[in-house]
Amino acid sequence: MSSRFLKEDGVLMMRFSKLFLFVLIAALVPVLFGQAQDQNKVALKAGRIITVIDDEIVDGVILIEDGRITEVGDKDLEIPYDFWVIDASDKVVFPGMVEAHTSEGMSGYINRTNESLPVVPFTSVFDAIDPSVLYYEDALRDGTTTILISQGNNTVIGGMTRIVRPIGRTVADMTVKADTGLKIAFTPMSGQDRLTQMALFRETFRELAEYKRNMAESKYEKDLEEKEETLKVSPDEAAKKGMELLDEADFDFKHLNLERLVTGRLPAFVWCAEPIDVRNAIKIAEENGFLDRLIFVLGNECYKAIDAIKATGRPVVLESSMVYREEDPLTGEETEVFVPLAFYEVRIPFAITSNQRDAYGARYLWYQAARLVRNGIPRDEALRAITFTAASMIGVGNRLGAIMPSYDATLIVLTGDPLNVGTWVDKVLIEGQVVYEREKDYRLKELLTGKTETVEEEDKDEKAPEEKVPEEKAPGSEKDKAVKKGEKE
Amino acid sequence: MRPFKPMLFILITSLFALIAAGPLHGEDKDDNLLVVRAAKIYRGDGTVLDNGVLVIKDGKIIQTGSGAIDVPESAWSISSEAGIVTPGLIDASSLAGLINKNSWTEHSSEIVPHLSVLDAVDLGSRDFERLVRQGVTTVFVTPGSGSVIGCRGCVLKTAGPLDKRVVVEKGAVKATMGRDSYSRGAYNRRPYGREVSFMTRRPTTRMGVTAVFQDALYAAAAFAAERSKKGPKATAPDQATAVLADVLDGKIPFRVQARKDNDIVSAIRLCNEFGLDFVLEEAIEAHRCLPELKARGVPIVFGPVYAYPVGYRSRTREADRSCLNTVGLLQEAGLRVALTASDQSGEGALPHQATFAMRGGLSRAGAIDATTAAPAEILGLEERIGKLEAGFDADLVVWNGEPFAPTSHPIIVVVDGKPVYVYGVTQNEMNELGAEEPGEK
Repeated sequence: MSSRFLKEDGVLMMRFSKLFLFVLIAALVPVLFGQAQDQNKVALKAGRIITVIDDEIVDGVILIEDGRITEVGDKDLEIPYDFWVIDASDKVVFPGMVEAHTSEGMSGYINRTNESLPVVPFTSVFDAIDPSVLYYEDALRDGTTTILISQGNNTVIGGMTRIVRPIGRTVADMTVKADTGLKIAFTPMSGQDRLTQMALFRETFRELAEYKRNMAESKYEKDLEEKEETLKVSPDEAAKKGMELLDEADFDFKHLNLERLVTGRLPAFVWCAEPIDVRNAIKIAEENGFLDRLIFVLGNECYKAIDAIKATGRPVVLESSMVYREEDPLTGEETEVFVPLAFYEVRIPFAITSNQRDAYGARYLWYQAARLVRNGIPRDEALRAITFTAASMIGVGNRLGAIMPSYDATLIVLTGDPLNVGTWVDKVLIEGQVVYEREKDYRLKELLTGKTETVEEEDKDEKAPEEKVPEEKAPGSEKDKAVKKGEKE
Repeated sequence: MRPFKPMLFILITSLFALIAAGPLHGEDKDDNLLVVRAAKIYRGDGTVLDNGVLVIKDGKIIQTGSGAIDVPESAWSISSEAGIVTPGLIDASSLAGLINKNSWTEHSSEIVPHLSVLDAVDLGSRDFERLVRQGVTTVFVTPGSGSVIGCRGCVLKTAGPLDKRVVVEKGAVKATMGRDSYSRGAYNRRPYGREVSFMTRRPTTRMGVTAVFQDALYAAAAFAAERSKKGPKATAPDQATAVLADVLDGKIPFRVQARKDNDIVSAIRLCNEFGLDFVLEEAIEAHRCLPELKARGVPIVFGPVYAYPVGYRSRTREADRSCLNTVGLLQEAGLRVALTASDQSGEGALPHQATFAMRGGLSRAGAIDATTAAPAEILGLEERIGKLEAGFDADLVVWNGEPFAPTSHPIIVVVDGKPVYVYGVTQNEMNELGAEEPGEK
């Protein structure tokens, strides 16, 4: 049942103070005892449902069973008696937002996002993700429910990416989909030039081909030996015949992911900071057979290679700053290009990303979508860029990023329109389970009021007497609630 | 002054369906007359004009009204049926135009109020162009925080002819509480067992900062006393003391940068000691000292708004306890508060700061006040900018929707009665249009 998620809630506790532990346990109480009905059957009544791919539904109902959406309808849709009803009839329901590519969520000294070796296709972010970092807590608060974690850009062939949900005690718990692609960077690593970068690619794939050839040849020979036949063909012929005998189990861990890449079984997230890297990327990908599974992760300037990108028909993930500035050397004039607009105009599917290093604004996917609208991209397209388009390109478009039957019930309940400045995430449902409720988000309250809200016990040993602020209204109800929760604890 | 061009209006009309250009049929138009009509005009003083009309002459607003009012026939007009007008935004603590934004601190002394930040400002900087695109029409360029008592800021318009840009050449003197005056001094080194040298001159503790501050102001107070006795015959020991004496006499405005609550309280204590009125700058933890600020009635230039500090601020360890609704809380407490983008640009620029402050709980009216009338008042220019009233500078922004909504942006910016920015028109095109007609100065 819901035990998986209850356990997962625990993750947030690890890092935080005793206070937060209280808060979380308090937050869990209603989840544990509040619902008489079957938690696996949920009916979400919504004031407005933004399905993202279909028309919006006013006064709608979403029926959820076992974490999946079974039906989406307007108010005529009957709610069966055994469904637990979540009433959000004054709110807006939106698909959980999708971060199509990020290197957050694994920061730390040993967990740095790049291995020092240039070619490390045998590594995986699985080992670097830290479920207790604040990023995941923020992601829930901001309504981001699906996150593709990838190694950084400072590499040649990086490791495996992974799609996670921002809740779970272990990486395994968090995982939505494992091994969702290899990270590859065509922009040179720091301290390396393009020639070396490209030489490393060629050398890696040549070495793979040679490794495969030798293995095939010896496998063919072995095969003959077993059949007690004699080798009658040339080594080349033997290698060719042996190729058909090879399977994944024959490859060592250093070559396996590369093999999966070149045989089209693994997507590649290809980082290009500049247009020249796009050309190189297309060339190498074409030569090595992974162009069809390629997802461009682009720097702003790459809009200049838009024709080449369009010709490949591959989707793009765009940088969070989204604006490319250039000074004309002759006239001295500064031009600003809004990069997503350029991609929208030629109908290349694009996803946008957030930047957790920004103070505000670009931290949030909804704000990034609002920027798209501000700069002339239609609203529907902008909303899809943070949901459905993003989910589709990272390979989970069949279950995430939209509200429709058979999709995961990974939804966010908003207090208003997603692009409105005053809108907050009120609830987050991940696969049908409520994993975030704003009224229990004490950290957010603290950020908004500037006051630390604690249960009584904490008050005594932490607060200095000077905190008494006469004209501030003591939020009676809030305090009472906190005390009550403390008691329950 | 750049004259008004028919070409410009053709351009405007061709670019924006929602803006209809004024009468273009041939007859003579007065280049110095402009009428602005919009669906809504926020006047900056809290009032709103629906179907508002502004009449502008020679760079000043001469009439405001609603609906059908008589306007001069010969006026050019900007009319936007969906557009919403606010006064031009004012950033009361900007780094615009400073050539090196990380170090514009004079290191020869920690008391440098006799210097002027205007000397370090490049009026031709790109920063001003970018600010105009964001709807900011006036900035106070703030002195560096690397000195205990820094230099004097200046007030600049962000557009218009270069010779008319400077509004206040020598503005407020800025002092700094807290860590900046020792960590921002690039040449400041702790002695580390070696002898104290030129490099270790600066204070290295909060106590040292306070002592240096007091030292300078006591010297200034002594000189001020002497001056009031002897009159003009009194000679100041140095330039800095002369300027600080003017500060003590209230002739020069004073501001103090303080981030942490204890630094804010120190600022209040020190200024009380010298009977100084001051403006508090940055004030990250202002929400933690509301009673003290309220008791003193300190005007505040707050910003930027954030949940997590970035850049230099994150390294100071002074900026961790932020609140998203500080501006709202300060306004509620009845304090005069202006919002600033400080060192943030792009999506952190002033209108977006207002957006974030609104997300934190500030009302739209409050956000408009904190970016127009309040900063004007704090800069002592409340009779000239920050409101759309007769007699005020015609600095205004036409937005394509409600100002500060994340989906809104400026479509026309007017400074001193002249359009200086039109959405989609590049700066060079604007300049060419302006330069087209000969015969103007």
